Amino acid sequence: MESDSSSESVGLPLSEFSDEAHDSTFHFQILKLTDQLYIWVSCNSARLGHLFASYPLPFDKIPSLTSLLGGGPDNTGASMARRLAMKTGWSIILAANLPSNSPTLEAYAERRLFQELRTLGYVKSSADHQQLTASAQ
Amino acid sequence: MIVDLPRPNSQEDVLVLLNALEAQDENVSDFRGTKNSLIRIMDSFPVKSKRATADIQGVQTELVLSGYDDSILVLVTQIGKMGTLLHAKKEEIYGGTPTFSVNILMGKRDEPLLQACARQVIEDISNSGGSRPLILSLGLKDHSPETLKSVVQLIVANKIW
Repeated sequence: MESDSSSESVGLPLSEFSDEAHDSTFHFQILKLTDQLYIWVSCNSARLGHLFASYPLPFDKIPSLTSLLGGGPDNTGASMARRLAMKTGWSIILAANLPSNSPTLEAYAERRLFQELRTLGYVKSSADHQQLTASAQ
Repeated sequence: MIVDLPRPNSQEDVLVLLNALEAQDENVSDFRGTKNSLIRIMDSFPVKSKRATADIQGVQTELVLSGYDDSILVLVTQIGKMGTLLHAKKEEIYGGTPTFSVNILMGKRDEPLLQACARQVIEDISNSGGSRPLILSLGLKDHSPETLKSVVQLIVANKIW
């Protein structure tokens, strides 16, 4: 079951949706600011989780990453924040509440999130990010 | 019977769907039984959010509030960016009056009025009986006391705690 509620009527564009996969329920929030995104990803609960900030650097292909609240750079969501900054080219504030022992769930959440970002038109064209990921490796 | 209708997006859509089924076939009591669970799934997004737009000193101000299980996020922006990110929490003292702590997670550290703003909002959360910490994002054009006062009033007027 999937539910969407996004409206552009009042204030900033906010998308909220839920999705079920791998016997878990995922919740997503995407808030679009000017060249910034606030994203919340959660699995099976409505807790905020760890808070990360990531932003693209002018002289480095790999975006910077800071852990703002709870969790360190090796926690779930940290690499997701970096990839979000890389693929959108914007500053990212990511709140991630994902289990640390399940890469499958993390991978699913990231895939679903990028699918939505592509639908919203927030991800740069594939040629751009292929070039970015190639040079980052 | 298979009804080809688009995926329902709201409670109204579900009710329209059920009524359409009922018009064709009387035997929808099974569906009626699941109506509430259908509506529950539709409305299941666990985080309640509120958005508002206001005019503060002639500047358009956007407000977004989200209530998570363990935190409250309040985002106020006049510049379209998150600006300074603050974390405020209540520190319970046994048998004493509570104290509040404010931390700057990111952004301007030399602006005490931003911290005062977070301090006032967390105090309002606490006075309303809440115990969740606050994450406050302030992207303001100016940091005058008048603006900060209006920002606090705007947040409190739209509170979700």
